[in-house]
Amino acid sequence: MRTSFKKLLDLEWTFFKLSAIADLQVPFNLGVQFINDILWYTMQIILFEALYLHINNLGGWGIAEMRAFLGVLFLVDAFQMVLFAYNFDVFSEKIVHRDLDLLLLRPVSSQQLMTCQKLQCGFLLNALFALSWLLWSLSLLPEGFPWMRSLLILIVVPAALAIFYSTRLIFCTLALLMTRAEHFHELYFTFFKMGQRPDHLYGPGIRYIILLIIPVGMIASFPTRVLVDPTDSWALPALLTAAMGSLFAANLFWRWSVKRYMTIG
Amino acid sequence: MSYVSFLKRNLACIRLGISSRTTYPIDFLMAIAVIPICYFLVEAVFWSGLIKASGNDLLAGFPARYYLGYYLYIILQLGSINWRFERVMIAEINSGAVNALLLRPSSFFEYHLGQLLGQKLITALVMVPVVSFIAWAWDLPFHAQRLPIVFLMGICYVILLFSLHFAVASMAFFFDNVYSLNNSKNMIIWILTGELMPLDLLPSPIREWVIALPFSCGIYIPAAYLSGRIDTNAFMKGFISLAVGGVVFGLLARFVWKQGLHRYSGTGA
Repeated sequence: MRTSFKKLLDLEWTFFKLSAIADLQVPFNLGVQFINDILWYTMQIILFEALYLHINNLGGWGIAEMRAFLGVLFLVDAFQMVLFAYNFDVFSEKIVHRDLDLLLLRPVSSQQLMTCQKLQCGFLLNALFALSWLLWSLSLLPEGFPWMRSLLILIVVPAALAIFYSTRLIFCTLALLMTRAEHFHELYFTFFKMGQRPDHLYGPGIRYIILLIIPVGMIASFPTRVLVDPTDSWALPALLTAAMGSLFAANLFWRWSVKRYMTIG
Repeated sequence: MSYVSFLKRNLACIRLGISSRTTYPIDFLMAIAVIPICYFLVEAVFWSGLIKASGNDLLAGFPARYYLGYYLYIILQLGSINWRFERVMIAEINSGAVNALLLRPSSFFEYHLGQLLGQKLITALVMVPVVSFIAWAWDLPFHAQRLPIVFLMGICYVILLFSLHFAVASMAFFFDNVYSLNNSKNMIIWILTGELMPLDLLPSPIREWVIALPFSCGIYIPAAYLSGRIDTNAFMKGFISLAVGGVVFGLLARFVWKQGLHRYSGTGA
């Protein structure tokens, strides 16, 4: 178990180095990618800043908490852009071109090769920006922020990434089971829009869906709760459980789908 | 005679767009109904949840049902950006597949615009009854008698925006990778259309500037007019900005395409 995990990490490090070399060949593209993501951040900031011109409080969160929420969202998004976003974007295409067939013959995890082979190292700049935004917004919290709590970022962001990865994997894996599944990818992003807003804005039924069935609501809301609300004692355990549970479920679904894919030929 | 052939080949492109949209039934259902309705529902739960969580009945002077009525227009998809379609245009220029089209009597512009219009028209026409039903079932503000003129604005906007997409895609003649540039353009359009939020929520004077741009005819102006947020006078002003924008983007598209083609032919392609 430990050896195979080390093997996974070694392989990922090699992918990182290869991707970094490839990315640095086109520095202009790196710059445009950075600006694109900053534009996306700006959109989210404009939305909430404009809304807070008309209201003071959203379910107990003022503008300071909302900025922290956006910081977490940006940070998780930046890391998912680095680690696996590109691979999921071209996932259906790879299946159509039967790239998976070759990957299945290799002595490493086909899941890793399909989902984490190409990294986009330029987005590390965005991660840096997002981290700065998050720390700045935490410093503005009205009740103050004990800086020791910022270490929790090291736990909650990987957990959120695990949920992001798992949910995307489940939706993308559908491409193995049907002829054209690109729209399921779009459908995922429609659901993910709900994860881009605090979960307490939604009613109980919707919260049940986005926290338990397709846990996109946990990607930014729960890590923010852990950071800004020390009294919320169940947010961290719930987040960690959801992260492990969704990783396990996604891997199980992947294995079952690959088996079915191989049977069909 | 040339007008008739122009019409015929463009109708053929529109038919091609419709048939390529309807080839795969599940894909068709997902693209025209499931995803837009899910998108509407996501916005509906967000805006109604937001107004409830704020503790007020109104947001910027409008109750929640006006926000739901506003987002009904999204289901018609006339103002939404079609990312996949633009990527195809860029890929065709990058890969040289554009050569096959250059040899035909139809132009690259007509070929893709026709298909885009076909896809948009079939989607909007199929979804009108669905939108009307949702408005009736949820008692949302929806002025059905305004649909024809809103439809006309939607089609004009598709043509205007296509010119801009075409200009950016034509930059693939000059650069190896214009996908990122295309994404930047779409991000900016996303907020300028009012898809992210109704533009009247923006602070003044930014609000007035943004509404005066032709991009507001993508979502904000038609959606606000259909749901009764704005009057006929404000709606009609949208056609002026569309006309000006159409000329500007049309000329830009023509210029970039001509220059690109010149450069492309110069390399021996």
